[in-house]
Amino acid sequence: MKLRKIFGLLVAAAMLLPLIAACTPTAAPTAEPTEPPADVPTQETAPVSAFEGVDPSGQTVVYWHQNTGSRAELMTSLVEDFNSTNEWGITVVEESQGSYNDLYTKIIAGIPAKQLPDMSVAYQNQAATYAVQGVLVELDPYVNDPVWGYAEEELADFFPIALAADYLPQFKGRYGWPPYKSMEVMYYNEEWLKELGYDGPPESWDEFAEMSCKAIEQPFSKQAGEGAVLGYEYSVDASRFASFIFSRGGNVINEDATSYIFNDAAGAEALTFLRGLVEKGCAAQTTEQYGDQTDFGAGRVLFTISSISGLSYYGQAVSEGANFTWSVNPLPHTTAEPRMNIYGASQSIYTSTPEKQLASWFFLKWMSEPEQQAKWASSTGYFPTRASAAEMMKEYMGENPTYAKAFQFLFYDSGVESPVAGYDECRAEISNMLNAVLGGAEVESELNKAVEACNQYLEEAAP
Amino acid sequence: MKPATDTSDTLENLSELSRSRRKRRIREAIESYLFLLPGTLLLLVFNVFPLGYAFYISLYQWRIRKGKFIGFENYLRALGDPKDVLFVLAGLGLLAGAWMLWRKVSAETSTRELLLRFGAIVMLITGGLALVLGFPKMLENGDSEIFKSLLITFYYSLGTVPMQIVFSFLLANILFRNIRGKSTWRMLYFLPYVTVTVASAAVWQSIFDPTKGLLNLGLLNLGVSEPDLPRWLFEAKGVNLVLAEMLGITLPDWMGGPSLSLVSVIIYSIWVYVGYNTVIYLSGLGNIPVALYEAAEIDGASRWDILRKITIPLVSPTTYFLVMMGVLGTFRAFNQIYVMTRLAGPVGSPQGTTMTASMLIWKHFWEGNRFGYASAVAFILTAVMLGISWIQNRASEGKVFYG
Repeated sequence: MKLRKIFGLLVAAAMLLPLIAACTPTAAPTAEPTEPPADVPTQETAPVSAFEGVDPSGQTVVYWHQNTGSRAELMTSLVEDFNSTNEWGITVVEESQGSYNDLYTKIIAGIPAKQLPDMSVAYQNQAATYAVQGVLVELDPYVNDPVWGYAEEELADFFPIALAADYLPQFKGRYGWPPYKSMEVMYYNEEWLKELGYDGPPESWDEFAEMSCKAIEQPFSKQAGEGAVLGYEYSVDASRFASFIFSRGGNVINEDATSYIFNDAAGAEALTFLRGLVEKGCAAQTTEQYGDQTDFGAGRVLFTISSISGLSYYGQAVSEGANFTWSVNPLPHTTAEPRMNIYGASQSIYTSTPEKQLASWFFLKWMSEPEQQAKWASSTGYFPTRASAAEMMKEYMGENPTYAKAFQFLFYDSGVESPVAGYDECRAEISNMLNAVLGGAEVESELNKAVEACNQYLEEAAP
Repeated sequence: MKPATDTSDTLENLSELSRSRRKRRIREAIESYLFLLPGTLLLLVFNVFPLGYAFYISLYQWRIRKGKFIGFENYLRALGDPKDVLFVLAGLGLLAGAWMLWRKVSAETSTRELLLRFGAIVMLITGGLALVLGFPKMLENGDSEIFKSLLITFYYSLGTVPMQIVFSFLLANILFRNIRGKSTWRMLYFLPYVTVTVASAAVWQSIFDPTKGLLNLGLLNLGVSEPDLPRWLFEAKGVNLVLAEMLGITLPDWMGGPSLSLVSVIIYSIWVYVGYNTVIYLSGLGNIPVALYEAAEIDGASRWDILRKITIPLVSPTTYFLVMMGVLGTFRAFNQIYVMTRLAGPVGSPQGTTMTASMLIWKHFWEGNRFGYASAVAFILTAVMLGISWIQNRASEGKVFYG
């Protein structure tokens, strides 16, 4: 009996022991392990979003863009895709506003009238103008949000040039998100160059001038239709001028974006060079909209310089025109390596309710996903801004070697046009300057006059 | 003698009549004002308010949105130092006063005439001096773009209005006769006016295209060599210089005149408005009594005499109206200039030679986002237009024959 009692007590004590141990404070271990065991996962705290409590479900947001024709149709289909698949039931209403200029004018008119969309396409300088008016949302909190933003490895997937472009120096912040990029390239008639005795496109501006002037003496054998033969046909445009000075190591604006500096040696050289070509009759201004494209396609122009987004249009012009072999190259340069003018409008979000802003961000983020980027880029000729999107486009690039060639130019050094408020106004001044100089006015005084006017706009438009 | 009650009754009746008349007058007045109210409200909302608001904007540093209040700074930025502005305004006022006084003098007696003429001369000299002192400084300190744009507008006006008047008067005289297909011709000439400006301007832009345009293709066929072909809308050079170059003559730059680009727009504007002016002239010609022509013919007047002594004086109200509207129209012209020159570069291209006053306002407003400054320039242009209308009005006094 006694033994049975003792055994019962021992069993009860054994059962109570863990309970007592649980109630007793844990004693410090005598020696702490220096590292956790490799196979035991470290405990992580759940990430906290800066937008906690903001529910974008069921929001309807308006998106203004500049796409027309087939690009507008593609945009519509992408938006429909987003509307039907997003888990929050967000509805994006996309509205094409015409050209980039029309879109800009409508936003400017919409600011005082308080009639703005929830998001829109905007070049960086335009975004800066809107930001000065306090109508844009800074995107850094969204990009860096631990829940709704990007992880570091995702950000590393974006090309640095694409991410850097939307950082506005006047605000020290990001006000746009880049779903695609474009750049200025030189289009050249490969067959004509061979007829002229050259193996490849010009690498220096001297070669460019030599080839351009030789072209007018020896027109292309396959030339279609009547018209003047030119080495280079140009349109008066500030981005083209920027490309000329970038290729000479110059810049449009200084590093901290406080003053325009295109009246330096690079600017003067670019203008003098172009005027020389015009005076010799080797270059002339285009007199029709997209006239440079159609004349190139007809085999009447050896070189044009334009955005890579026109690649498919050039292809069409050539196949409908003289049907020859052509390609693209970086602009000739005086720098050791080509220096590109890489640009492209981004997407910006306008101040509204936190819910609408977050809903807009979800759409922008979705548009920047590799699948959407690849779809957009392969249909429009723009470049994706993510390596993973480019990876998805391998087949497309294989079928489009000119595009694939141009894509590699993204990794050259580049200049930034001018991501500041007031640059749109300055662009008009630059165009006026180009017109004046090419019409015979003195280079230096026109450059200084334009820089002075641009700096005045910069000062007036500053935040 | 009538009884007193009768008199008081009559007085009462009279006062009642007067009261009822007053009541009726008040009722009629109220009715009239009620009829006027909708129109007045519309005018206030759509004319007076925008005008007042534009003036309000012009007093601020308004860049897209309202900035700080700066008073008349925008006006002074455009016109220069206030002292110079005052000199110019006083000068213009004195000149206008002298002119009016001189015209009035003929109606006065000889002594007064002498005194008034003397006064007019003093005003003329003082006004001239004030202008000489103020205007060059105004040009120096003000916004040179404004003065340049006013000169270009003046060229545009001068190139367009007289030609429109001459052509339309001749056409109206031809169409007024009993020619075959009269109504078809009238419709054809009127078509450019009713065609959408943007569309017809775009067509003319392609006609003027230096490389593929019909005009230069025609010149090529006539034997003009390709390098000598005019660049029309892309040519910033003055038309006189272009013509002189073609003739192998060298002219100094200041004799250039309006650019060939502006002249191209002028040609288009003449084409558009000749038809409209012709229709107005036709109605003016229809109002001249046929008896006058018959009497003149009986008296043996030649066709030239009839034109000079009957037709031209009797259509002078029409001419006055067309000149007035034409000049004001050229100051407000925008669409055709914008559409035709947009390929040559930014607004006002080439090289600012088509930057008329209205284009300059657009440039500051939409390209420069300078809403305040653009509004101030618009008011300055309005003042110039009012001044020109006043001069036209005064100059036509006694010359327009209303029958």
